[in-house]
Amino acid sequence: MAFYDQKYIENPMFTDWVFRPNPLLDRHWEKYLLNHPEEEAQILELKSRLLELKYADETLLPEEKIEIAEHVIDRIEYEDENQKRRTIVLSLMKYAAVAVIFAVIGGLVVYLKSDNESVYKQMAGQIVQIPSEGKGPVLITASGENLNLKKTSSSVDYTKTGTVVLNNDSVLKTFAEDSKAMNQLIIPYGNQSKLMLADNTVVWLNAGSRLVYPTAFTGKTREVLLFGEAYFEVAKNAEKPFIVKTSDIQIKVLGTHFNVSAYAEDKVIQTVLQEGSVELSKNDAGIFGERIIMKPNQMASFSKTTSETALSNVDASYYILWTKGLLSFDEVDFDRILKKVERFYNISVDFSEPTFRAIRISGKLDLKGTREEVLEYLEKVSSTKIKKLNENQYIVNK
Amino acid sequence: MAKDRNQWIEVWKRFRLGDRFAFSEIYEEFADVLFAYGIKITSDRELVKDCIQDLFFNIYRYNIKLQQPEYLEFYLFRSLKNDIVRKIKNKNQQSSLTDENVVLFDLKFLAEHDSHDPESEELRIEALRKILQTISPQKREMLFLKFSTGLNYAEIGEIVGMKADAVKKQVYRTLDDLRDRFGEKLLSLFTIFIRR
Repeated sequence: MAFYDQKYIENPMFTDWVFRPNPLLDRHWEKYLLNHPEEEAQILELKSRLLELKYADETLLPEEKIEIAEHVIDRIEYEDENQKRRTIVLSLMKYAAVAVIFAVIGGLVVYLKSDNESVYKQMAGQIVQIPSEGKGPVLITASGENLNLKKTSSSVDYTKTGTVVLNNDSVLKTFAEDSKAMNQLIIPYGNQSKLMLADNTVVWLNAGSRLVYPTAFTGKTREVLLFGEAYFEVAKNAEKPFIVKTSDIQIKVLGTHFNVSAYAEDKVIQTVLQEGSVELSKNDAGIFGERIIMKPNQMASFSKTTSETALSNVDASYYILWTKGLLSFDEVDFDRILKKVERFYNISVDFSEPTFRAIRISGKLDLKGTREEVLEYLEKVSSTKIKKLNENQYIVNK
Repeated sequence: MAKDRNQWIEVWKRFRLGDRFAFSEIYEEFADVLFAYGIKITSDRELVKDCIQDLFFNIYRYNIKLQQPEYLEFYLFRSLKNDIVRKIKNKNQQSSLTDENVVLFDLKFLAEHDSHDPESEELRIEALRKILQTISPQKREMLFLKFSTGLNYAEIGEIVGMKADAVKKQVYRTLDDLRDRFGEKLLSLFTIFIRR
C-alpha cells in the first residue's frame, strides 16, 4: 500500500480538491505541486484514480432546495401556531431572491449575535413577506409586531420619551424589551421611507432596502445593518461611533452625512461622503485590518469580487438626489440607471440586446414623475425604444 | 471557506441553544449532499425529498430532546438513510432489502474524461465497469461516504454496517485495484496505437 496514497486520501483538502474543486483549492495544489515536483507524478496519478470513482451526482435543483425548506417552515409555523407560539426567524439560503420577495412569516424577532458576520448572512437569508393588506413599507418591531406604514413615502420617528411616531400621525409606545432585540424597517420596491433613530440620526431608505436597528442604542457603539441603499445624517456623538454594516464592509462615523448603496444584487458597494468623516473596513477585518478614511465628496467603491476598494472624487450631492426624488447621472451605464428605476417603480425592464446595457447616458430624472415620463426621458437620452409588454414589464429595443 | 468538524460542532451547539440561524446554515450546507446520497439508495426523487424535509423538521422540533450532540453530519446521514429505508419498506418497493444496513447503492459514474478517441473511451469504461462490478453495493456506499462527506471510518462503518478497520481496508483495496486494472488498460491502449 503506497504511503503516498494514504497521506493524501486522509487529507480532506486533497479529496475536496479532487471531488469538489474550487479556485482556492486549485491554487493551493498548484502551488504545492510547484514546490514539490518530486510528488507530482504520484499526486496526479492518485487523482486520476480517484476521479474514476466520482459520481455523476443527481442533485437538487435550486427551486427544489428552496421548496423543501419552505415546507419545513410551513410545518414549523403550523406547529408553533398550534402551541400558541410566535413563529420566529427562519432564514434560508442566500440565493432565495431576497431583493424581490419580502415575506413576513408570523411576527419576526431578530436577535443580535456576538458573531457579527453571521448576523448579516442570517439577515440576508431571510424571506420576508409583506402582509397582504398593505402595499407600503413594513416596520417589524422588536416585540414582533408587523406595522404597515401604508404610504409610499413614510416616516418613522423614535423619540426620547420612548415612543415611536409613524407617518407624523400615529404613536406607538415602545416597551422596555430585551435590549438585544432589533427592529426592522422593510422598504419594498416602489417605496421610500425616512426614519429617525433614537439618537436623532436620520436615515432615508430607498426602494428595495431594509434596515435593522435597535430601539435604543445601549452599548459602546451605535450599530445598524443595511441591505440596499440609504442616506444617513448621523447625529454627533464622539463617545459612541455610529457603524453601518453591510454584506461585506462596515462604515464607521462620528457624526456626518453619507450615502451607502449596498444592494445584494450589485457587485459593488458604493459609499459617498457628503460631509464629515467616515472610516471603512471589511467586516472580518479585525484590529489590524485595513481601514480607509474618507473625506467629503469622495466615493469609495468596494468590489465584492476582488474585495478591493477604490477611492474617487465625486460631487456627493449627485448621489443623494434620490432623497429628494431626483436622479442625476453623467456617463453612467444604462443598465445601472434602469436598475434604480426598476426598484423605484417596482417594474421589470429587460434588454432585447445585451449591448444596450452598456450604453452610456447622461441626464437628470425627476422620480416624482410618472413612470411613463421617466421611461420616455430615458428613451431620449439612450436613443432606444422602451416598449411596454404588460402592466409591469418593459423591454428595451432599438 | 468550508467548515471543518469543530466548526460544525459549534454550529450544532448554537442551534441547540436556540439559534435558528444555525439551523439554516446546516440546511444550506447539507441538503444537497444528503440528496445526492439518498438518490443512490432509491431513485424515487420525491421520496428522498420528503425524507430530507422530515429530517430537518424533526431536527428543529426535537432539538431540545437530543441529549447527545453527536457529530452533526453523522446524525444527518444515518437518520436520512434509516428514514429512506423505512419508507421504502413501507412502500414495498425493494423486496431485496434483507438487512437494514445493506441497501442497493446505485453507482452511476462520471465519464468525465473527454477523450478524442472513442475507442479508448470505451475501453476505459469497460475496465471501470469490471472493477465496479466487483465492488458490492455496501462498499460502493462506503466509498461515496468516504469521498463525499467528512465522516470518519468509524462513522461510515456504523452507517454501512462494517467495522472501521474494514472500511479503511476496503477503501485502500479499491484504490489498489484501480491502479492495477488501469495498468492493464493502458497496455491495451498502447497496443491499439501500434496496430494503427
